[in-house]
Amino acid sequence: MDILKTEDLTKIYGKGENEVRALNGISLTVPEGQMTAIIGPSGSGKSTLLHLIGGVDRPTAGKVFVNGEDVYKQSDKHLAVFRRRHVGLIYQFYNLIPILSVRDNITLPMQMDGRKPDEKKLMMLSEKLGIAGRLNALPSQLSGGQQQRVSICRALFSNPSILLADEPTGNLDSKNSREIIELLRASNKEFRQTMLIITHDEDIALQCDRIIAIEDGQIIRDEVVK
Amino acid sequence: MSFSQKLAGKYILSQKRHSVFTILSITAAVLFITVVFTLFASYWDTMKNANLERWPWHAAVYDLTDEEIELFRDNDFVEKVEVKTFEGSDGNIHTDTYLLFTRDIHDPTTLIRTVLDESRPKCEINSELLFYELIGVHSKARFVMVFSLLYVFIFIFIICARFIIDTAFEISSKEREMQFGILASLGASRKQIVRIILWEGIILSLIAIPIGILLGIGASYIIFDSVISTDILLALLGVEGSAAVFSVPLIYMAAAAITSLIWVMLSAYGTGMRFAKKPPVEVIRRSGEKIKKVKKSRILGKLGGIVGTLASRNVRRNKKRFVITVVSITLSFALTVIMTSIITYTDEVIAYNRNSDALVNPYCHYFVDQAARSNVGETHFDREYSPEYIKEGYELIKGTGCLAQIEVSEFCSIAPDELALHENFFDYTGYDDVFLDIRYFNEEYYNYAFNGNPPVPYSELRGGNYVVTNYAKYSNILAGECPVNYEADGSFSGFTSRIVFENNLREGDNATLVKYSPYDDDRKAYEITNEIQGNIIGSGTPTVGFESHGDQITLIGCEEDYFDKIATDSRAMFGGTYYLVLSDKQRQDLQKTDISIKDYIENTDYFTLIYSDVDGLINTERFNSAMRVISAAIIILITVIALINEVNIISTGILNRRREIASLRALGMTKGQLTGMTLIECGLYSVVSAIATLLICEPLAFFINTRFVTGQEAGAPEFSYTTPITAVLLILIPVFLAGIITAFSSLSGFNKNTISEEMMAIE
Repeated sequence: MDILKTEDLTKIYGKGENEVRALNGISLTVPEGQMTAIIGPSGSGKSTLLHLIGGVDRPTAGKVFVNGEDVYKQSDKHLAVFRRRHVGLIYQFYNLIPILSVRDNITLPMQMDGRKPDEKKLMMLSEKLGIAGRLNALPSQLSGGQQQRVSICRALFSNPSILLADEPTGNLDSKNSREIIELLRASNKEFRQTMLIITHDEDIALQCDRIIAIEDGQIIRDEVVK
Repeated sequence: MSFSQKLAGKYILSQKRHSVFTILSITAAVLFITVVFTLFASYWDTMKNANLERWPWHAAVYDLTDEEIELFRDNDFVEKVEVKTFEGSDGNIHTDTYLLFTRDIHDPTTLIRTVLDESRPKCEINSELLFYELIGVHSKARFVMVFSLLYVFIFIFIICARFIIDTAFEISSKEREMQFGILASLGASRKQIVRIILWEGIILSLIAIPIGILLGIGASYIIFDSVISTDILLALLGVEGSAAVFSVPLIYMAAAAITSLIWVMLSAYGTGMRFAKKPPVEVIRRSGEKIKKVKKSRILGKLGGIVGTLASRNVRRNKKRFVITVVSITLSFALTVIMTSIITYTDEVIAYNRNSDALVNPYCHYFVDQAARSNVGETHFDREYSPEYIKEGYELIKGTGCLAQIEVSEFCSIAPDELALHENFFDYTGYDDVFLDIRYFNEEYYNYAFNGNPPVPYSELRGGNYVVTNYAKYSNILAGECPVNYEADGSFSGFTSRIVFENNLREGDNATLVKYSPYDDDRKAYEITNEIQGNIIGSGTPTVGFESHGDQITLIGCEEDYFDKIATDSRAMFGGTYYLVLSDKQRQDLQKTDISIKDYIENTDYFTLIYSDVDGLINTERFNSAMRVISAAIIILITVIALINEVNIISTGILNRRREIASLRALGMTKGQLTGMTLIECGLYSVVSAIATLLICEPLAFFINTRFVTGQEAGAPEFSYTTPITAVLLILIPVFLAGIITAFSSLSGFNKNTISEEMMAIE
């Protein structure tokens, strides 16, 4: 089953002479449980594609379907709920809330939903990610690798339909990078998590099931590796 | 606890500096509202108290029968009835019935009419007490109007206060903009993000509002106490200081708290919506932050080099922030300048009035009714005067030593219907009424009034001669266009006098002052009871210390003639009125002299005080003193608000540029250059605000002078053009200093970290 589908997805910034076509009519489908790497040079539109899929931006044209639902037909309120429940976002610079503890950062989407977090799941996930002993710490008290693990934990905790990672290892050393990708891979295997990962790292790309190459806002290559 | 409440609490604790500024801003706003409400409540209760002391009844109904009194006693809307009987001057027994009404009465007058079944009952309504006790529909309607006006005043202030509260929320939210974007990307709805800021507003208000109210009550008491000590209540409201009540009604405090809370919520909501509306990806990427090209200042670039260039660009990079800071500082400057100018002007007016002449102050007039004790309802116009009595009083008061001049004046008016007979005259003047005034000066006052240069020497006035003033306005008369035998019929308040001028008020003319009996409507005639001849030997209008009513014609004679000839001969034909002119050469203790004169007048049989010009001068001095206190309080409050805003904006501006400042240091900028850049930025805010203030205040001074002040006698004070400049320069110093201290304090925090740490700006 295709969990994700885009139709002629287009994003244009600016007007007239200053117009920039970040995405130019991208259409793709992603089946459930697939781990997809998105590669391409800087400014090719990778992050834009991810943000549009995640409901964090609005397309100029085209559609995005997640679980068969047109994402952008929803109201702002429903879009927010969609992000909360169906999307897990991981950023290059972690983007944790600095004044919240690790525990609160992880459970934040659930708290927004007014739901009580599952403590057992929290412990299980945090142990898997190696941050169980740091749940009460503030982000500023963690290393980069630890912060990214928190970010991954937050993304996985609400069991989203798709997980979107924008250069999750971009700010990490090679050791941490490997560990993060392994965690993502394990999560993909264990939870059948559908993932889209933007990366510049070929090694990371090759560990994914599929590689999509984007250049100048268009898909130039789409191959299933595994 | 919802996640919004949780986050709000954590943000407040993590952003202590912003939280403190926001609390200070809200406190200042609440303080002001509380002061206004408290002083209003105190004024209200003071007036109620004063009216109760004066006359503790809502109404008095006269000469009621016993049955009628019982009707009132039985009426549900009448709370209390008191009856006083007394023997009147007519020998009859009279009844005065005093009533107190219940709070739910609709209209006291209507009730009395209804009970007595009369459309015009003989009664007196104490509408002032009813108003201050809010009894009756008219009182309530009036109160609503008064309170609405008060609210307009508060509203205007709150608009200004909203500036700083808005700024406080804006700045603290700006620093968390990216976090709001992250929250949105994680699925927080707009409402949830707005709620975070709303909850912050509520929590900070819960701290700030009680503090503001307490400080407001304290400040109100200080102002109240200061105003009471200047006797301003007596001067302006006719209320003794002992009747003054300091009042802090809970309902007003609740109104102050609710008003403040509403404004804080509006501010928080507005800020929240602005940030919640931003697309999360724009915020996270900071792609929404459009850095527009900012022009540099060539002058600053030349004077300060790269430091000046950077400073001028930094200040203008965020137009909104620049405008808000400048506007709030300018508001404070302008208010200070205006209040200082008003107080300086009134000080000068008082000094001018006091010092215009060492001997004679024309404003220190006591308008005294001579020759009898006054009774209620009687005026001196109703009585005949004995010239012997008048002269006795004159000799007596001259002998007191505390008065220098006595100006005796009498006048009659020329009624318009009489003027209609003489079309040219009436049309020329265009006035409904013309006064003809005859005054008798003593020699000293005569020379003073003509500024040492009278048209004829005083000695020539003796023997029934007069100088005529204001004749120029009636040049048609002088040219002989009016009938030769011009007659004027005095009909002002019982005057029965006429003045006939044979030759139209020219120099060389003979004047006949004629006294008539009251006009007989049946016979359509007067009877002459007395006549005095007078000669007009000079013309000219006094330039100093001469008060005239409109365009009246005045004949000036000598004082000795009045007492030696006219008063004796004519048996005080007109209403003799004395202007007693104060002579206090030192002009040190006007109030003391005023008290001694009033004591003298009260204790003597010869005089009754009708009104005193001195009261006006003393009241102005008292008013000025009270204004100083009130304006000082307002200026301090507004300045504090402006300084809070300035400090907040400058410190936040610096902290938000941590990476930038670190980059400059990494490139080689010294601490001294950094300090210089900050000094110039602070100076720019101060100087631009100062210039804006002068651009407002100088034209205002010009407008006031041309519209209201010009036309007064030569040498009279006017609104100063230099006071605004001096005032601005004086307040520029604390504003600039506040900015400098803030900037230095913010910059010193950077020294704790290395340059690379600052560039990473780890939170």
